[in-house]
Amino acid sequence: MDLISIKHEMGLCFSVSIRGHRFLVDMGEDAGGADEGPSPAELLVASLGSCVGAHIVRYCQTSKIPYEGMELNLTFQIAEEGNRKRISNIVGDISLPQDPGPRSSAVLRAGQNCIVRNTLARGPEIDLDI
Amino acid sequence: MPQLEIGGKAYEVDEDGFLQELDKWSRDFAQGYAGIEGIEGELTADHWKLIDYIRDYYSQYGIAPMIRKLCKDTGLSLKQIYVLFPSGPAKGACKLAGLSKPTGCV
Repeated sequence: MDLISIKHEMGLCFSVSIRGHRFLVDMGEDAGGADEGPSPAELLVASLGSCVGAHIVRYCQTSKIPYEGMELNLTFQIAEEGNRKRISNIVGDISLPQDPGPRSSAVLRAGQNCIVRNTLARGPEIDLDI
Repeated sequence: MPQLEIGGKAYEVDEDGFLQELDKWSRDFAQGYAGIEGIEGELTADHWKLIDYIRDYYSQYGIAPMIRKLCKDTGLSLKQIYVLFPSGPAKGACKLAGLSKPTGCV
């Protein structure tokens, strides 16, 4: 795997560098940030949505199901448990250019078998050190 | 407790602007709050469909509905809900419906 580098820029804003790509992550103003980019939680959900989308495209390509311009819309809720917050619920709508009809469940299964969803479902080991 | 003035009436709200007394809600409150929330013009039939559904659900179960249920029962997609309420179902629709700040649901 390539190195993912995250560098503090200002306030709660960080720049993320991955394989030559660079973007900013920040908290919204209501959470004390400067809103220079999406929040980490939003990125996580966006990561899930784009991973689901990529797997659906692959399935549609092999199954000859139209997919160009497909759209995924997601939202999520934060639960507060004591002083711990976590994403408690992610909801997504997937729109394909044509209704796949009886193949809808297969399309959905393909999307649900993506690496990010599988990771969230199982919870990876996270090892951080200073 | 912060207060919000809508149509000449004062309402007690929490720090996020959610109404603290459900029984003070009225359709005039929702319409007046819509302007503050950046929803231009009169609330449409679809706005009211969502607001009324959320209020009915809350009166039955004491909590706001889960988003998927909200979508299924109103026939509106997530995208349509965000077009109607740019702040989303919780920060937008529930706020206009006069619910206290939802936890875990919409």
